[in-house]
Amino acid sequence: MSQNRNTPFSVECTIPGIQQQSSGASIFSLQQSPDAYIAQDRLNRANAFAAFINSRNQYLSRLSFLGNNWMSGSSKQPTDRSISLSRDLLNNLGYWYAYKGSESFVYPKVIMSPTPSGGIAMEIELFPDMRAFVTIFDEKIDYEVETKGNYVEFQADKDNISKQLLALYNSNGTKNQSDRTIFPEIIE
Amino acid sequence: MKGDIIPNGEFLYKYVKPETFPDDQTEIPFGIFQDESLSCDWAAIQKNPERSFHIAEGKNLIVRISVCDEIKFPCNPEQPRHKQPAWEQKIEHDPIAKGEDQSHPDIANPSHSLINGKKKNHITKAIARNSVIYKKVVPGQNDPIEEVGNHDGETTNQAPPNFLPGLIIAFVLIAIIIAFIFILS
Repeated sequence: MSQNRNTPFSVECTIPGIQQQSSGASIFSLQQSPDAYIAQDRLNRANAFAAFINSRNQYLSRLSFLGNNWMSGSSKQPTDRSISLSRDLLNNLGYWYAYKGSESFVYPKVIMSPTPSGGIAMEIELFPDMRAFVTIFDEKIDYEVETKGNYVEFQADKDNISKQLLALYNSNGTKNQSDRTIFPEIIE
Repeated sequence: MKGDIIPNGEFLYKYVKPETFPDDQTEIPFGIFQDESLSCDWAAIQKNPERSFHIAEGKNLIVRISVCDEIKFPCNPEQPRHKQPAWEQKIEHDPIAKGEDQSHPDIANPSHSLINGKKKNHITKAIARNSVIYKKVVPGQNDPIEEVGNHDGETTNQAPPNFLPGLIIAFVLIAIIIAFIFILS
């Protein structure tokens, strides 16, 4: 489901209904000021993304026990280092969003899996027309950004991948906010 | 036949352990398609993917890939008519005879196929876009698994038949008959 990002999510959902309840509002909170709504919306989004990050951290922990042969064809157990670096990147994203990003951004969508060679791959949808593709294999990080079908590769390492990603998010956030996709299953 | 190019419109299967993906993730991730020789089963030959030996190994989530030009001939979006030979994917039939697969030496897989080529992110993403979760096979809830021979008379990649329930029923029936005869005598 797509929402118009020009309008904060909770403001759009001031009509009584499931979405309103799921965003923490009640019949009494309808009398809240717009500022209070926006603050509540930020808090809800921050909490939802924190829960998402937590669930993905648990998933990464489970990958430590996945073993080889997890897919037909060649498939190796993800290495501990790949899992650990993926967790760092994910937590940095979660930290940034909770303490700064939730003020202005809808949180990014993250699609994850192991790779056949023993790494971890993440597709991070920053905006509907901009995705970051990150593949982590031990210390090696492949980082590519897709914008409207064009793929551009960037140099990145474990120390700067989070910063690069967040700089990209920040640099495009102001002009693209209205286009971003919201994730109702996580919001709820 | 080995080396035959698989035409557009055909389907390929991959088998994945469900725990490979986060529980609540519904999208197919690009990362699982990064192998330069991506091993699959050709649906035209593998009629019952639910009975593949992969299922018995816990890879009971079946991903179905639709063969198409978007995968075979990836192009640069800025030059859509300009072919990129370095990115092309050769999707070919690669049947495996008994003894050829070192990890499964007793199993032949006549449906085995490969998506060969360098897997840049836009290619793996194209494969993901043309894939669906076809089925999650629940162990014990499928038809009895039968052993099937291929055209060479070899055992295919079907799991071995399970005779145990039939044997138990036969044993119980014989026991009842013996007990009945014993009581009558």
